[in-house]
Amino acid sequence: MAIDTGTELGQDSFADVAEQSRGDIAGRSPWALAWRRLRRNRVALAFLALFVLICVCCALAPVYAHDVAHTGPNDNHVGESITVDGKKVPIISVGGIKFVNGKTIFKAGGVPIGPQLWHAGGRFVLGADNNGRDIAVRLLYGGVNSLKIGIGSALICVFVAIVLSLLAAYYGGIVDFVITRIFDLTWAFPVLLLAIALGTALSINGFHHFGITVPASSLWIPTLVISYVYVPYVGRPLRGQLLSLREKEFVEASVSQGAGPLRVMFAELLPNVASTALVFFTLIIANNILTEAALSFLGAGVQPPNPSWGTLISDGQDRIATAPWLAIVPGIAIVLTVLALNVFGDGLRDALDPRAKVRIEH
Amino acid sequence: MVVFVVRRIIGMVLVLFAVSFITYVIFVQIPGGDPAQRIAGKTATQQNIADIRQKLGLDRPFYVQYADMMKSIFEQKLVSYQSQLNVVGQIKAGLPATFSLAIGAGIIWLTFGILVGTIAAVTAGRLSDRLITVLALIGISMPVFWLGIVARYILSENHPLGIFPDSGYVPITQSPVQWLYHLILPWFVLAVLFIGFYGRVLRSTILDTINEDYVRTARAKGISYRQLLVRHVLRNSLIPIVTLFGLDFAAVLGGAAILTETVFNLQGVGQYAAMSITTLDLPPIMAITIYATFFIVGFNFLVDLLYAWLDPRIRPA
Amino acid sequence: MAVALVIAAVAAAASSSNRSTAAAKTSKAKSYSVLRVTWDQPDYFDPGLAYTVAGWQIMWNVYEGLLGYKHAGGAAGATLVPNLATALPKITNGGKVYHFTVRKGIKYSDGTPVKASDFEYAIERDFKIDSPGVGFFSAIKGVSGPKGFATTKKGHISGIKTNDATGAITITLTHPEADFANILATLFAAFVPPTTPLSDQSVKGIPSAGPYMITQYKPNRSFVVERNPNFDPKQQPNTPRGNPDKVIGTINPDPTGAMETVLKGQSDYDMISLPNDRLPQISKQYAAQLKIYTPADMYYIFLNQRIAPFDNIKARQAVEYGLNRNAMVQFFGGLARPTQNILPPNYPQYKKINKYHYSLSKAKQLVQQSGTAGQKVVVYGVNTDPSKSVVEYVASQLTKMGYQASVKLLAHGVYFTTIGNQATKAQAGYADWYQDYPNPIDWFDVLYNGDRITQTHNNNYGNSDFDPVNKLIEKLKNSPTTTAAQNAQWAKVDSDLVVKYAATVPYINRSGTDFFSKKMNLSGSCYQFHVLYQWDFSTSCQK
Repeated sequence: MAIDTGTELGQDSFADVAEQSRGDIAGRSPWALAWRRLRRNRVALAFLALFVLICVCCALAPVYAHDVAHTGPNDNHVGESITVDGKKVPIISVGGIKFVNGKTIFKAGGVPIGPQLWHAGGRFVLGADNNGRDIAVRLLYGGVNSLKIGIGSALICVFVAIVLSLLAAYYGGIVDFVITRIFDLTWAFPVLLLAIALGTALSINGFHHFGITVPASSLWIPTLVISYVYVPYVGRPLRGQLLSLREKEFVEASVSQGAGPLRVMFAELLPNVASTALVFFTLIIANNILTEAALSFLGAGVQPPNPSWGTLISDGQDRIATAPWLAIVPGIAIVLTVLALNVFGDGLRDALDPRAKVRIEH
Repeated sequence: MVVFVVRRIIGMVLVLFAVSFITYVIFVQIPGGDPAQRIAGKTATQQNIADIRQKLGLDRPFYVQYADMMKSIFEQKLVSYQSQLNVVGQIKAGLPATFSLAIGAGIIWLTFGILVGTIAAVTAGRLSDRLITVLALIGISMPVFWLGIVARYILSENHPLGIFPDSGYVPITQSPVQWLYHLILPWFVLAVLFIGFYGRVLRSTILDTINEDYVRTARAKGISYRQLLVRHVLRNSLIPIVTLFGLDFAAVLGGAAILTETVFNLQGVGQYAAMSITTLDLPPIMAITIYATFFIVGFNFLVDLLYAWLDPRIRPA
Repeated sequence: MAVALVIAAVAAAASSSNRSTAAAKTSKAKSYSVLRVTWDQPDYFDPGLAYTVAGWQIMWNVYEGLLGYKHAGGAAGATLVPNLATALPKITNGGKVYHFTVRKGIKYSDGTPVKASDFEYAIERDFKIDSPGVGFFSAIKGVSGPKGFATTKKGHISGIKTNDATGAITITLTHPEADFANILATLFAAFVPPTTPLSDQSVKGIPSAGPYMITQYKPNRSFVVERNPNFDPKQQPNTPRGNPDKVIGTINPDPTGAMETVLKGQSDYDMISLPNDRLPQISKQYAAQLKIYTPADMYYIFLNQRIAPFDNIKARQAVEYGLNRNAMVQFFGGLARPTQNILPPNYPQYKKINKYHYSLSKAKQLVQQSGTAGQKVVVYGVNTDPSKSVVEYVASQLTKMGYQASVKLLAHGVYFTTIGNQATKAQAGYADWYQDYPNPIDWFDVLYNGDRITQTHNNNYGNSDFDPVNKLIEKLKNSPTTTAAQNAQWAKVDSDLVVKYAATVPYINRSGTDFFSKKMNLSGSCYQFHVLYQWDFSTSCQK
């Protein structure tokens, strides 16, 4: 995976906006202009609405679990039955071995009940898993975890990348050298391999160094691992952009007026890359949700029994022939969420900076 | 130029060293990962474990162990803690599958990516463009392992609609037909994402290039649209695509297609990597990391070299 | 067991000569050219190192020791027979000295004659190559202790005396061991030529004294087994000559992939149990090609008695009542039977325990009484199914009972060493046991003898340490005879551990599947499932 930006991005954005907006909306801030453009992009807004809807649905997971499904995300219903349209059906099909007259009689079992939609009074709407757990409930709770990790790691990743690239661009010299080498080294790792390695190693015993303690099953582990591996993908292009800004007159002017490093970095340099960072942020959430799914699929992300969309697919993979919905449904949730973010991210980029070429590669 | 090459090669060696050392540090401290205990078996005595520790050199300082491990990788003597098989031998055994996957999928994604991107750009704004844009977006929004699972479920022999083999790899030397037949699904599953991505990149690059001054000049000179597109626009727009392809292809050769290989049980280097990590088997993890990093750093270097050769301005002094 | 064994051996030896010729005739009639099999990845094809069924199932037809098991299905398979020895051992000095004589005129597959001293070489080689089996030989005189062979690895083991001229072998033990004959029947004690290098010979192969030899092995890919040209069934009457001339093995550890090889007709036998996901379809559609077998195994939840909450007997009883064993069968696709015993049902010492009937309310009540409600419990397990589902279920039930339960899943390769390390402080978790040899000692002494608890590499994961049980195990362990009274005492150990102390929670005996192609004849003696080495390819037939 790689994230790239056009190198010419950013420094001319104000001029571009001014040129394109031709005076009729003169006097408005670039953000207001962007908002105007975004508002006209119905498709992008529709997908933003879809993303918000998905978030709201996931946020309502406890309500659904309590009032509709009447079960929690980790509650097993092994050995129980439900009433479907007046008939009693076991939640996990019953099989076993019997020895009759020296012959072995075998009946296969263990197949979970399929999607019931509304035939079982709101229970097992999307079916059950190996442990008789309600998939609809786990899908919503899993969404909460996937979104938490996706958004959380994007926030951390973009924040760290901004700080590091500001430091590198402002101080240059040895600071720049060290930061660039850190970027390069992380970049040189096969990204998924590094993420799986870190995720697996940390989920064995958690992290207990430097006075920081993170338990092994914590969501912080996948969040931090994912944000760490993508820092150079955001940081490198930002640094490139900031380096050229650093040479601009307005920065020199600010320095000569006695502005300190913090003021120059955050008041002068940062606003000029804010739009790039914002677009990156949107697209990297999408990217990180996919990465979380991949990590959890390989057992290096969210740790069972906690659900996430990736772990649900992983659980479902072993039941694909007898219970295909287990793997298919959470995948659809991922596709919808990531698609919504990608479409909205595209729209946002077009609105903020029509000439920008921020893009994320998988 | 020579200085540039030498500097880059030294840099590569340093990166390989750093990457391998970091990987070593990540895994060496894990509790329960003591290889001696693992090898000793369930009825082992303390003496037994101590002997194995000594034989493997696990009683020595960790940096000595690291150096030993690196040495045995390059001497091709390193064996796995889990299976006692030679790690380099296992990587070599996985290469045909990984290379087959990478080459086939690479051809597919490059061809379709260029085709799709060009069509979208040429018909910009029209229905075909919009359709392609939507499909490309869906393509890049799908988790590749999920696509693989679903493709296996619907299109493999076990399903009424299916015609493809369920999974596995058949060496081309054993049966070229079966080799192809087994790889079609994995190729397309892996390629979908890249097609979507390359298509999008190419579309926007072509649209940018069309608006460049020299294209306008050429158009004004009366060159036909088709000639213009092929000779000027496409040729220049392909440069970023080729760069990207070099790096992506290198990554897949290096075992980055972990998920595709795992889902289709291709037994390539990527699957070996995933398996070794989940079993916390340090020797293969080290060897594969070095192998994969070598590809990534090496192809990066080649791409830079190519650029330096093409464009003297960026050639360093 | 050994005295009874000697008597049985005389009878066996007397009748074996004429019966074996008959067997040789019938087997010749059934012999066929090629058997293609799909195999799990074996750990080794070196008898000194292999410790998995995937290795043993092939190698018990390749390498031979003084003793071996009868090639028969069912309980008869547990019968010890003299292979390279002329007869079962003569045991003297109160069970401390074993006398054997090696058969004359037997040659390894490379033509080297089999000698008595090869036995000593094989055992000493085990120590020198750090074999996982050396723990079995610690009772031999001169092995243990600071100057013992296990530590020094120099000179010879003083407790083994061999004479190549007469073929006599005398083994002296420091104390009687009831299972020593079983230990000598393991592949760790198989004869190897004295030129065998002191390193893993899986790929190069070691000349064999059995009916077959491994002629090719490509790890993770394939292996080939062919007839040993020097094998003569007249000289080794307890080993059948074998039906297939050649076995070609493809290694594919993926259960679905392995199954496909049989479905597609590329293979005649899939040794790996079918994946749960495909069981419903295959068991219906291909019922005639499927055999369900039940090896001697036991799956259990260990409860650590050294730390809270399971140092409290009421808390442990709560788990016994709070797990629905009948329902847990479904985690194995129905391919299991519920149990409350430690010993599997096919043991003569087995006496069915029927004490705990699933009741969540009773479990909750017991947790309340124990005063441990609300405590945190981490349940350990392997990160793949069925362990994953089982552990998630146990944690979910513990939560229902009133604990704050969570799950910790680890890779198979590190799991057992992690829970076997006292520093881990695993409170509860998943475990299973498959016998190394058919003897209750391999169950109770290894898994539940409190005197054998170790700091690391502990097999007694729950740290069960009950003095009366330990004493009884020690007593039974050192007695060289097996009587009905002793069988009853073993049954008492079983019931004391599960009922009296609620020390461990056995829940199922797992079965497996053998899946064959249409080519294979599975009727009568053509399908033999051995209690230890599973399906016996040497007795297989084709239609």
